[in-house]
Amino acid sequence: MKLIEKIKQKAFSKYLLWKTRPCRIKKYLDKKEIPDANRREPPDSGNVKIASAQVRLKMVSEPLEYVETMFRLVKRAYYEGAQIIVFPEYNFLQLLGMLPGIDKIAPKDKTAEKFGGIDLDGLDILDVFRFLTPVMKVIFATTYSELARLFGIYIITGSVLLSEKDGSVYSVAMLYDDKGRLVGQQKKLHLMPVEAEMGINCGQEIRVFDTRLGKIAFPICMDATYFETFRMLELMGADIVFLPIADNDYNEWKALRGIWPRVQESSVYGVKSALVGEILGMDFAGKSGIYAPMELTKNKDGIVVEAESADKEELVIGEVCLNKLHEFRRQKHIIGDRNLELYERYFPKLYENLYKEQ
Amino acid sequence: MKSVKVSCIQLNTADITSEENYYQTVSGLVEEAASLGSVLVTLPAYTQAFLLWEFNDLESYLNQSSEIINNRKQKFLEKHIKIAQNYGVYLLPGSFFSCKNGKIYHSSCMISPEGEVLLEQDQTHLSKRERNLGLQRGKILETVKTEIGGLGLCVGNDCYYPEVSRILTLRGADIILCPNAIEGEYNRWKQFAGMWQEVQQNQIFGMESCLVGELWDVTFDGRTTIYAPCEMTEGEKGILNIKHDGGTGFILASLSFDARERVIEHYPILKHLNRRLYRKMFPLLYKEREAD
Repeated sequence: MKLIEKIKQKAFSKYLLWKTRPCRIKKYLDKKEIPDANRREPPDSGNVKIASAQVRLKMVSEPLEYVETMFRLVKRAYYEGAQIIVFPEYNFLQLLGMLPGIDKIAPKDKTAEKFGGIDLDGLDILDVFRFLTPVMKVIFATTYSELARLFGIYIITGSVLLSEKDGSVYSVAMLYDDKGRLVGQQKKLHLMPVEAEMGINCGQEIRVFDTRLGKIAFPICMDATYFETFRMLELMGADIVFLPIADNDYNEWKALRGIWPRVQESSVYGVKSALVGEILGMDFAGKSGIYAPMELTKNKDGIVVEAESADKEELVIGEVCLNKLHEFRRQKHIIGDRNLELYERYFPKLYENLYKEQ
Repeated sequence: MKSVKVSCIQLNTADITSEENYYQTVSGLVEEAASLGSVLVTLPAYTQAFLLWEFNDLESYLNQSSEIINNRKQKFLEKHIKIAQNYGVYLLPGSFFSCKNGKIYHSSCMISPEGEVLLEQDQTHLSKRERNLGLQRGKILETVKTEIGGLGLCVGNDCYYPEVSRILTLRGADIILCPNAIEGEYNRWKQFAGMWQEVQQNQIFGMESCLVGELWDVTFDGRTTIYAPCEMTEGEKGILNIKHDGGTGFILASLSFDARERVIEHYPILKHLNRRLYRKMFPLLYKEREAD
């Protein structure tokens, strides 16, 4: 890269960091009418009220517009009595609007999945995410930490593409507690083919967080295509598994392949938060929802509540009971058996063989 | 490559009144399916019950000597071998009980058109009721390569354990066959949680034959279904054919291996298994759970 290009890039980076500086975001939120989170009633033991945001994409050139959208959704969740809110996968794409001229970028193919179809004139799109990483880190840390603290609500941020020191890029979601403290983060563990082709990396650590609201985990999107993710979480003691998603189209049957069967086979509650709308020629659609083992739901269908649309902004609110879940696990009749000898006999070798084949 | 026609038979216990009536019914259905071009036919779980009229309940049968249990199994197999040979089909004869080293297993098998038992499969995960009956878990999952593709058997409740279908798929199954008897009133969601989703997460074909009605004081209900990955089915439902009622009869579907290959090529789920993570976590987690 030429020296002048380097200087331009550095200057632009400084400009973006200035525009998204924490004190600016905090000042913006300070002007809002916010209830006193400390006056909030403590949650019922065993009952958890959950909000799942269905976020509709809208490109923003001003980061405070993004903060405003998240503020509006968290505020509504608070007034609905929610103790935790989850946001979708890629809940940062709106912020690409900060890049001048980005709206003129045309997709190579309208049906392209996620970022696979974006034409950046030969520029590696991962370089864009690498460049934006410091900015995204600040926006996410400030916005969600502040909102969690101000409303006294747990927040799962949805995911953002972040690069590490060695340049590797991961899809990462974060959890903030009701005091605004970062509890932890989770990297996406299984990639879409197009993400793998782009060079995004998959995480190698899976975590369950012990919180006041129970043991919670938040793998990301494709992770729910694989029973292995939820089996690990079940064995780690997870009660509620949150799943930020960003799917390119919605079909009720294809949607049924994700979190719903995983909830049934691993006896956990599941919460899905979907990204919807269109950005840079990429379409996203899906229904946010809250799911439970079918025996614990009114219609015996495994659905506690689900969004009405697959393409509009919605906030799905529902309540789950951890005591009922724990009782169900003790009583369950059909599932709940294990055959360790069988797994030990086959899995290590089968996974190894697959590795060699590839 | 190819496509093959297959059929799944559903039996309603109310329609079967005797051993002879059972064989007549099954032979008639297999004959009809074969005449329509089916090369592979499945029957539901617990078909051996129709040969055990003198026992009031399953418990009293399972309390018989190993000799009686294995003789009855042999008789059951011989009758079904004849049916497979008569109509020149691969036949999954439903399920039966077998005794090995004094332990009783709930099992199924695959019979070739020539009458050879290609594969015998014990159920590997048990419900509370099955454990209380003293049944044992199978410890082996085999598949068999045939001219119509790799076949694996998922017996009864094994369809609710994703480990089973994953192992069978990674061991070469293209079609997983499930002789089933789903306890309780009919609820279509129970089947989505079972074979439907096993097919989706492994991108294989699934054949599920259901037993319907009362048997040994237990109610069973389900709808016999032939499954395929969503992308290659009408309306992307993941269903090639389904029996819409609870009566005795059969359904037929054509399994297109080319279409399945295209689905996998576009969306190769198994290529993206996170093997490194599983290798690290599962031994540890199971060990911890065992210690609990």
